[in-house]
Amino acid sequence: MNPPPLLAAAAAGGWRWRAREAQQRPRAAVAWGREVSRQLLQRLGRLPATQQASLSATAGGELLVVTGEAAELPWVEGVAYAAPCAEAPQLWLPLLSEPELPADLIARALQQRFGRAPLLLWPAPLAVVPLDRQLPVGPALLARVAQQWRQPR
Amino acid sequence: MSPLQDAARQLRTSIRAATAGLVGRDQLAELIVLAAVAQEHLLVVGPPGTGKSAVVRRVAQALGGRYFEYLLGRFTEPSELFGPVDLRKLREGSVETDVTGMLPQAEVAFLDEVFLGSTAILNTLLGVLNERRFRRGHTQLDCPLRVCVGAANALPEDEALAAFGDRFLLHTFVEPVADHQLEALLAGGWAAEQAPLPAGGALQQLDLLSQQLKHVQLDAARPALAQAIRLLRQAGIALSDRRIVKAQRLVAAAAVLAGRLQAGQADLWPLLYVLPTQQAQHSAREVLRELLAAASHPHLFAAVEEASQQPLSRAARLAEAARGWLAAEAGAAPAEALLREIDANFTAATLPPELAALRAQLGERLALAG
Repeated sequence: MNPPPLLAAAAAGGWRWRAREAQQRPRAAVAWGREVSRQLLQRLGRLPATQQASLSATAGGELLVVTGEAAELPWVEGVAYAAPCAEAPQLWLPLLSEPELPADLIARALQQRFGRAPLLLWPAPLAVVPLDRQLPVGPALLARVAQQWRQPR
Repeated sequence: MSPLQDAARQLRTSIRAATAGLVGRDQLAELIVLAAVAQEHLLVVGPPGTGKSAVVRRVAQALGGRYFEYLLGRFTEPSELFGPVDLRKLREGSVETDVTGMLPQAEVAFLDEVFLGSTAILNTLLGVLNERRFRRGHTQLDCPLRVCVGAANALPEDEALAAFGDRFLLHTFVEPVADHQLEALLAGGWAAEQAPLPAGGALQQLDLLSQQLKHVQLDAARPALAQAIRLLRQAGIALSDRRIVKAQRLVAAAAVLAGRLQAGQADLWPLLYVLPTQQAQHSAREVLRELLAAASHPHLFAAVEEASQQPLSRAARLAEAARGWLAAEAGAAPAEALLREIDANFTAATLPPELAALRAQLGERLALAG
């Protein structure tokens, strides 16, 4: 799939991100990169079963996104936090940066392109992550993610 | 450490002891102390059962002053607050009040449902609050009152009562504890019931700071304060001249509570609590965003954070919590929560150096514990 025009425009410098102060409580822990995502997976494995059960997760090759209430979200070095955007709740953004474009327009553009919601838009690496197929965190899911990451690609 | 800094630090220790276990009520305790140092009064607006009286009682206990608390009703008699008529003196033809153990002798007072008081009560209260002078019949007394905390479910609409409410220079609005804090509320409430009330003795420090108020240099803060008032006016948020002038007492009190005799732009944050309504305070946070970006305080973290709602004001609270955890190492969960809150509020570029060092220590200890 070609990158959506919105991301292509961002990659070409058509629009930028700007820093913002955290206005909301975090609702997702986002680990990018091989090392941080593996550490977060290990951390999830050490959480008490009740805390695991209050979280959901989605994983990619070098990405792990864990969603839940702020008080339940795990921390590891290098993890970042995200939350739904106040103006467009179907669009999740990092807590500490935001696009310079109006969030509701971005949400609509991404929705049209992907046909899924909610979507997490991330600046570095520039990416869109669908959050509609999150699975409850538990030993079975953690084992499956670990196995997928072990498989050669 | 100067005597002023030492007194401010000891007072901070007392506040912390007073609010141990009372989840989300640090701000109220800090504002009581700010008001007391400024020799002003605090109005707390919020639903019943939000721990208002518990906080005031514990702060009064920590200060060690004489404490008077009363829940007013429509049928409350003046004698219930100020004391009964002295019958012995009445026989001699003079109408005097026996104030033993009553409001005129209190150093810290909490008046719940304060707007329900009768006209006679409110009129006498005005003298006690404004001039610290009790006048009733032939009795005229100076009152040792440091601070009166009034509480109400809502601000009054009646003009006469609103004028009385205006005598409380600081207004704050409390909400029930948020959903995410319910577990902490239950655990903290249980622990607070078992824990002994803090030992008194901080009144002396409070008086020392209060006496220094007149020596505070406000020159550096005044232009910023005037600019803040201009911005508020432009946004349609009006403040009476009396409240504007008195706001300087709070700015000075914030400075002495930080152990300084010079006030600056970092001490402007109490102005937010001078705004009488919740709506005005809410709007003012946006209007004064830039001016309050520098707001900080080494001891009154929660009050500053609530006023400015900006990262710098959170840094001091997070740093104190981090130091507390590093000293006690009470479980991994609070450390992880602290690290999460630090990373949710600061990037590597915006993290203040002191907090960055504490964050690194927390991370190391947590890794060792894990």
